[in-house]
Amino acid sequence: MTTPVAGARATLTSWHLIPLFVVVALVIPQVTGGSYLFTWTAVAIWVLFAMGTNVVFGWTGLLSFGQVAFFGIGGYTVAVLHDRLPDLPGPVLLLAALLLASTVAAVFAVGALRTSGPEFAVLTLVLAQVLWLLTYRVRALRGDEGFTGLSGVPFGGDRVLRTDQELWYYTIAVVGIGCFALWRLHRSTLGASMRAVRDDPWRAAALGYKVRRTQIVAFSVGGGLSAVAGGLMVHHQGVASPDLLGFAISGEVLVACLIGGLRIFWGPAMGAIVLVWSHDLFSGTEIDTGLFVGVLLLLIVLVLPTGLGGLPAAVRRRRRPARPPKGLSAPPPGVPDDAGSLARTPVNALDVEDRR
Amino acid sequence: MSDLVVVDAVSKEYAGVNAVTDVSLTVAKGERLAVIGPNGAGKSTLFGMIAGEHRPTKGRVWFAGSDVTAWTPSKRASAGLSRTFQVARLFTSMTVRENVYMAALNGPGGARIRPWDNWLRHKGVWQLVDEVLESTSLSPLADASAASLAQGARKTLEMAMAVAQQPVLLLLDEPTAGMSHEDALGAVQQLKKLVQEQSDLTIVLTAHDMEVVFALADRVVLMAGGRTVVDGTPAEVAADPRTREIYLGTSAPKEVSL
Amino acid sequence: MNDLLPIVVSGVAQGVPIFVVASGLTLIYGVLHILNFAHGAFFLIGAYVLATQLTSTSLGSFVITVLFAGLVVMLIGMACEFFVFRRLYAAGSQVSFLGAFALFLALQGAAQLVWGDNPRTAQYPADLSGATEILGAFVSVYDVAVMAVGAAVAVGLFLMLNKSSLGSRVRAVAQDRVMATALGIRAPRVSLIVFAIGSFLAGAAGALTAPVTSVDMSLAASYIVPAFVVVIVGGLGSIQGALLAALLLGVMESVLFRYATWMTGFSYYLLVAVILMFRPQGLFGSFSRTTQIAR
Repeated sequence: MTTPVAGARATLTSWHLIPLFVVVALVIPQVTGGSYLFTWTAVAIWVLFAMGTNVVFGWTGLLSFGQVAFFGIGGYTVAVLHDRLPDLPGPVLLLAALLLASTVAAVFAVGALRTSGPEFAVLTLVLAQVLWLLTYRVRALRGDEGFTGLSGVPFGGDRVLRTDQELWYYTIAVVGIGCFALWRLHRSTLGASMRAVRDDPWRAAALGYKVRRTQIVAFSVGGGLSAVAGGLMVHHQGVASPDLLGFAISGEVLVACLIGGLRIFWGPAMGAIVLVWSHDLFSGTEIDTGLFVGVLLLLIVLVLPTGLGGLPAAVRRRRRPARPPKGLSAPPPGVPDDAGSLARTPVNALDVEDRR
Repeated sequence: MSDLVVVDAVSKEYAGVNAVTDVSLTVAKGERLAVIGPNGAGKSTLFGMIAGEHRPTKGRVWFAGSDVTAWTPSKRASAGLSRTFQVARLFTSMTVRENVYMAALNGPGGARIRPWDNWLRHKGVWQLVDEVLESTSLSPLADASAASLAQGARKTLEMAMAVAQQPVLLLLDEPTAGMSHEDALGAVQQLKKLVQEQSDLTIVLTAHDMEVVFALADRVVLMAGGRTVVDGTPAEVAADPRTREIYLGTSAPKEVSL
Repeated sequence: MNDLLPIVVSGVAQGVPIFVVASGLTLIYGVLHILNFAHGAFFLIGAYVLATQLTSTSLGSFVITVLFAGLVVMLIGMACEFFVFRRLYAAGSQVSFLGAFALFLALQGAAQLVWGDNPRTAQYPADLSGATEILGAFVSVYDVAVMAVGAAVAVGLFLMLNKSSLGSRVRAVAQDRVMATALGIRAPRVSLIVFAIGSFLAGAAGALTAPVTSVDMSLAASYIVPAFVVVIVGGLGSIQGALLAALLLGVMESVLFRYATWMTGFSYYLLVAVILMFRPQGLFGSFSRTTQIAR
C-alpha cells in the first residue's frame, strides 16, 4: 500500500479504525444469526491469523510454511494455563500466548535465518512438525485426548463469557486491537524498513538498515499474532488438540494472504473471509476444500499475482494503454510497472540471484 | 590518521580462484580514487571488500580509524559509508521521493528517529530529500514509482540516495555502466557537481570508461590479475607503458585460472 | 558392536524408500530450482494407483503395476511442468514453490474425489513375502527388494547424469539455463524430461510403499516432509547427498528406536536443524545461488 506523501490530503488514520470495528462488531450479530455468527467468529480469528502472517510474508518477504506452529503454541498456551489456573482472565491467557510465541519465534528466527529461500521455508515446516510431534510425546500436552471445556472465557470476577454472542464480541475486540496495532506498525519506520528489506535487502543494508534484525522482529510479530489467533480458536472450538497444528493450516493461511493480495493492507483479511466461507460452503459436499483452495491458488499464481485485492488495479491497467517508462532523457524500454506483483517478492530477503 | 580507508595486504580467494592477491591501498580524506582494470582484474572484489560485501581471506580493512574487516555492510553504512551498485538497486514498491527519504532516514539527519514513529513524519528529513531531488534534477519524477523508471533515471536515483545518506565515503560501482552516452554524460556532470559541492567527500569508484576517470578522479589505481599494478594521477597512469600492455595485451597479464 | 550392525541394516532399509522419493525431488530442484511440493501428491497418487490396480500377487503383475503407477504419475508430472511450472520459471523460486503447493493441494483434492476417504491396502507379491536375515538383523524380503531398487535408482541416475549426453545437457541447464539455450540446448525439452523422470520416481516410490502401509490421504504429507528434509540435508540438487542423508536419517531413527524410543520421529528434524545451522547449504550443496549479506 503506497502511503501518501507527508503533508498531503487528510488520510485514514488508525483512529478511524475504531468506529469501523465497532460498527462491524455490532452489525454482524444483528444481520446474521445462529450458526452464521459462529462462522463469522471463525472468520474474525482467521483475519487476525492471516494479517499477522502477512507481516512475515507480504511485508517482509519471508516465505514461512510453519505459521501453524505459532497458532498451535497460542492455542495450547491458553489451554494449559486455563487448565492449571482456571480463574485467569481471558486477556491474560492471550497475553501469555503472545509473549511465549513471540519469544519462540525470535529464537527460532535467529538460527533459521542463516538459511534462506527454500531451506528457510522447510525449516519453518520442520518447526511445525516438531511441535505437532511434541503434543503426542509430552505428557502434559495430552496428545489426542487434548484439552476440553474451553468455550468459557473467564473475564474477571465470576464472569464467564459463554454464549455465541459474547464470544463474538470478545473475539472481534481482540482482533480489532490486533489490527489497530498492525496499522500503526505498517505506518511506522519499522514497517517501512520491513518493506525496504523485502524490496531489496542489499540496498537496505547499504543504507544502514539492519536486515537480519528487521526480519527477526517481523517473524516475532507474526508469530505472536498468530498465537493470539490460536488462543481465540480454542475458545471458539472449545477444545485444544493436535489438529491445531495440522499441516494444511499453514498452507491455508498463506493462501488467504495471497488471495487477498500481499501488498494490500487489508488483503489477508479479505482472503480470510473467502477462505473460511468457502470451507463452510464445501463442507457438506464431496469436494475437498483443498481442491478448491489449490485451484484458486493456482489461478492466482498464474493469472492474478496481486491477488483479488489487486483486481481493480489490474483491470485499470488493462484499460489504459501502456505508458513508456519515465526517465530523464529518451529512454530505452524500461522496467514494467507492476510493483505489487507476487513475482517481485524474493524468496527470502537474503536470496539474491546474481544474474551476471 | 588522515587516511580514511586503509586496505592492508588483502587477499580474496573463491573456490581455488585468487580474485585479489595481497593488495594494499590507502585513501586519504577528500581523495577521489578510481580503480580501473580489465575484466577479471579483481576491482569488483576489492570494491566489495571495502563495501563489506566480501570478507577478505587474508588482510584487514580499516575505515575511519576502525578495523571494519568483520563489519557488515549495514554497520559500515552507519559509520558513514555509502555505495551504489553496478545495476541500480532500488525499493521498487516506493516512489522516487520515498526511496530518497529511506536513504536520508538512516543518515545523520535521521539519527533521532525511533522505530515506532510514523515513517513519513520527519520534517527535517523531508527538507534534505527535497534538496537532494532538486540537485539531481529528479524533482519532476518525485512521485513516480521507482519501478517505472528507465535505466538512466534509476542510476540517478541511486546516486541521490547515496548522497542523501550524507556519507563520509562514497563508493561508486561502475557509475556509468549500462547507460546511453547521453545519460552517461549527464551522470558525469552530476558527479562533477557533487565533487565540487562537497569537497571533503571521499570517493572511490570503479570504472571502465576513461572519460569518467579523467573527469572525476585525482588518483587512479590500475589492477590486473588480482594485484595493483600502477598507482598515480590519471595522466601518469594513462601514460604508463604497463597500462597499455594490460589493456592492449602485448604481453598477457598474470592469468587467473577458472 | 555386534549389536549395532542389525540396527544399521534396518536403518538402511528404512532410509532407502525415502531416498527414492527424495531423488526425484532433488533432481527437479537441482535442474529447475523448484522445490516441488506437488511431489507429495505424486507419491500419493502412485500409491493409490497400485493399491487399486493390483489384482494378483504374482511378482510379474506387481512389477508391471509399479511401472504403470510410475507412468501415470509421470504423465501428470509432465502436464504440471508444461501447463504450470513453465510459466513460473521467470518469476522466481518463491512463486514456483507456491505454484507447487497449489498443485499439491489440487492434486490431493482430486485424488480424494477419485478414490474417496477410505484407506486402501495392497498385498505384497507372494515371492517377496517373508523375512530373511542379513548380518544379524531380521529384514523383510520386501525391504531387501526395495533396497535393491534404491541402489539401482542411485546408480541409474548417476550414470544418466554423468555418462550420457542427456545428462550433460541436464547439467548444463542446471548450471545456467540461459547459457545452455545459447549453446543450442533445448531447455524446455530438458525441463520436461527432468520433470518426467522426477515424477516417475515419485510415483514408483509411492507404489512401492503401498504394500507396507495403509494408503490414505495423510500419506502425502507424511512422506513429503521427510523427503524435503533429506533433500535439504543432503544439499539441494545433490543425488549423492540425498542418498547419504536418507541413509543417515534411517540409521538415526533406527538407533533412536532401539535406545531412546521417545525420541523417534524427531531425528529428522533435529538433524536438519543442526546441520543447517553449521552448514546452511547442506552436506553436498554449494553456495552458488545465495549469498549472505547480513551475518
